[in-house]
Amino acid sequence: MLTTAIFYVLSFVCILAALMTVTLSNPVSCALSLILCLACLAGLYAQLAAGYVAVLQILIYAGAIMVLFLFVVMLLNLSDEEAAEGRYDVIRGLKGLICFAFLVDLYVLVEVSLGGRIYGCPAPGLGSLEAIGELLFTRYMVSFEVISLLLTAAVVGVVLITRKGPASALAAGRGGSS
Amino acid sequence: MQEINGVSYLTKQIWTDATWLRFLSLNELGFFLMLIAGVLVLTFVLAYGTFVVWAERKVAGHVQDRLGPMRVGWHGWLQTLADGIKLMMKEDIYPTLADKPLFVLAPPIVFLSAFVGYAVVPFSQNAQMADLDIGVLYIMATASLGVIGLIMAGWASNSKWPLYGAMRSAALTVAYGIPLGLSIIPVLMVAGSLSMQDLVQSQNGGILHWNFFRCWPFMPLAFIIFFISNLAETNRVPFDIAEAESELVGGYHTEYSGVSFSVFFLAEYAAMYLACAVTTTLFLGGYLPPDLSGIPLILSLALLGIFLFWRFKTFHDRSQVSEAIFCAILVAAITLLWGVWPYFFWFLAKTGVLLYLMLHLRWTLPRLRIDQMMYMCWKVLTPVAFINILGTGLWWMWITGIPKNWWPY
Repeated sequence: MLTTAIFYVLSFVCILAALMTVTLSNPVSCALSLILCLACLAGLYAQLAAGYVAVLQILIYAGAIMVLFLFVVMLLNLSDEEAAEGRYDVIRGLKGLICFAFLVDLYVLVEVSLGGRIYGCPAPGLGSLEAIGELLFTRYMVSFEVISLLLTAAVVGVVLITRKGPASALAAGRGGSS
Repeated sequence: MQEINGVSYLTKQIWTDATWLRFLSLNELGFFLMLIAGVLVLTFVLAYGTFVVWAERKVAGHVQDRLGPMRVGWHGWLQTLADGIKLMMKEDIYPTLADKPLFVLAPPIVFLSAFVGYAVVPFSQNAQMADLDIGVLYIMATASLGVIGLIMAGWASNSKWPLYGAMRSAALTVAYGIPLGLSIIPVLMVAGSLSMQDLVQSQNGGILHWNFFRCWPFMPLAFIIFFISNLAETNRVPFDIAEAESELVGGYHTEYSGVSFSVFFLAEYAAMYLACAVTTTLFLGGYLPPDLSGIPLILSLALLGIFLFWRFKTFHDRSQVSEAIFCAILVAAITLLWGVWPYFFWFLAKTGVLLYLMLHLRWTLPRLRIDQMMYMCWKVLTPVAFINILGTGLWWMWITGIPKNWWPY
């Protein structure tokens, strides 16, 4: 009973936070609502006995990526979105249409592809550390290594893009900005 | 498990460890017990925080050739209590232009992120709320949420200095988080588990089996990286650039006053103790005794005797009652802990040493600039941590041999 109650509380807060993310006008409040949403999702993962996934959800999304989001938002010092004027123009209508299309897509996915079956709790231990580690290093080893190569390439690319001037300037000092 | 000393043998039948603290299933009874355990841990954190604040001020005083607090109680040991009461009676001021909900929510979130980590801290063999199979990751995840509270505080204050402090801590999170995560991997490789109990048990067998004393020089290097990153995570000098008072007034807590201000400080001390507890578990054998067959017991009892003799010889009547209470609490605590809960005693002793190291560093080192901090985290600690992982792996392969099924196909 308690588990069910916790599930409903987590789901309710999760949906509420997701709605707040798209409806609030202040960008920092939006980002913080998204963090709340992600934390509730982590709680739902933990209820599915997938503790590793839950912890990674908090560690990576809520703890690292959202902090970067907040950093960028504060750095750009975005003000509140202007409300009211131009509320019902074509672009906004298109945005709403795309969102609706995604909703329909989700419904079709669940109803048609899965045949309307509601899947219950997955096999115990599916989201555990051992299971994920074994899958990563046996079944999905090649894709795992390819992704790590891709990420390394991305890191090198970022370093190349962000550095200013020729290589000699980089070697001369530790930055030289300030 | 081996016996520690005679006293523990006598009392072991009566009450070994707080066995009733351990429960894993979350039914109604488990939920109720977990509430009780949470209150117990909260009491521990509050009591410890009060003590550490006093200790910090004494250390600061003696480092700077002062006496520190001396008025309230014997050598000022009740000073924190007096300050706490003072802070509670002060007015909570909210800036007019502050984002009030976020402003009010920020201190509790910072404290919560430090506090929930205590759920997996192994105070002793049985005194642990939940032995998760991902214990270390859990603590790192919850501790990383504290930054969000700091950012909320900095943003909601709607003022320059808090915003700068919040941006600095956001930039730092990413910088120290990577060496922090990488430096625990050698320990995890050796232990083969992420559970806190398994990590402690993998160091069983005396002081030379502790991770810090194994695999030189890789493990001590990992210890140093982990300790430095933890200093940065808990916003301690020399890495407290998010609240640098000589540059940013008070950083993210500039606009806070009264109780909300004290909650920030409580959170800092809770996070400090948590960091020391994790460091102890990972590198210093956790709650395991050093196993030097009775020598520490005799030495410590002798030291305690000398201390008491010296105190009572120079007894002066101004603070007699307070001093007597202090000594009585000290003796009772040490006797109780050593006799009844020896593991808990060793855990407290080891974390105490690390905590003292943190306090002493704060009052001896100057603060780093943010670019020096970034340079150190990204260009020194991260590569060294990577090399460390490689070295430990090779060492471990040399000890245990190459596993037969190293190729999965």
